[in-house]
Amino acid sequence: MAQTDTDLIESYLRRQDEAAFLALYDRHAPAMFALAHRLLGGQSPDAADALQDAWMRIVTRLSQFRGESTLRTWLCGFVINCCRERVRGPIFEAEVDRPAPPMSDVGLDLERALASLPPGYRAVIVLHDIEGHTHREIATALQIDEGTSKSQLSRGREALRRLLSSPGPRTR
Amino acid sequence: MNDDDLVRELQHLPKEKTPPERVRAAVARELGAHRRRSRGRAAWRVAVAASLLAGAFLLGRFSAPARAPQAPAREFALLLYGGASDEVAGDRVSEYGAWAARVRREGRAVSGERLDDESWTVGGGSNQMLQGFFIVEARDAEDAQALARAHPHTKYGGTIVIRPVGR
Repeated sequence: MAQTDTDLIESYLRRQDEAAFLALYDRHAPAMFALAHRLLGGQSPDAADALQDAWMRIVTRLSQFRGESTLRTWLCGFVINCCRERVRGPIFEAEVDRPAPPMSDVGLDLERALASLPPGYRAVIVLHDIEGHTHREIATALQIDEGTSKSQLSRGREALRRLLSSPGPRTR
Repeated sequence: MNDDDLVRELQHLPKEKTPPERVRAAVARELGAHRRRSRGRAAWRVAVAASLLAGAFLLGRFSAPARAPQAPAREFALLLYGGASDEVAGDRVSEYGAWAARVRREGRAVSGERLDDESWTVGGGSNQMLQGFFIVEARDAEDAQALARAHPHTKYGGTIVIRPVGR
């Protein structure tokens, strides 16, 4: 029977069982990598670096996990921070005046459309619509206010719809 | 496409993606390095404690120093910044402990701790990592600085900040 996250954490913290820590990595890293990949606009090398940075921090901070959220949510917090640090400029701040990308005459599939969005829109759509976070959680994670998160979501969805509805063949 | 349809499509996207193997390898290496650092910290504490105990044994007691500094003594904190390496080598731990023992043999009270790597910052940040500290008895700031200059931490690229302990 597979060990629970709690069992693995305890095994690592109490008995320095490094195999238990790597079992946590194997269990959660694929979801964390998918999140990093989307937050960073589909750039896999950057996403891999962000994932690695996140786990370097988790090695020393796992003892701080208090069980107030699921372990997956807590771990993803590190990914969001590492992604936020990697992107240059105020891209996770309000982008209310930033224009949506120009319409292409070739339809984009959903992943590519998502990757084409401005980073602020993309972050909120990924965290809210794909990962299921509330606006309050997003506001804390991205260091914006809830109102900004809501307006980014609304504008981001509008921009995404425009990209998806462009004429041309669509692939999924 | 309305919001509900869009969200439904987004939620159908794959939730996982296989990361490159090099990330797992890096995590495994960091686990080993963390384990070695932890052992080094434990060895440092043992070395400081052992040096204090040895000093106390030689002086024949476990509390007040055998010979107090000539002028009324104050306490100073020696804050050890930077100078970190992946491993705290046995020689370096012994050197730090030997320094503490020498200070103790001079009749000064001294205690110290190595700090864990975890840290939390409130307010403005600092670039340098505080590695540990000693609280030592000294006549005055000059005396405390002389003690700090004799400490091996700067030999390993570290900085020692001296602060008087509040009275």
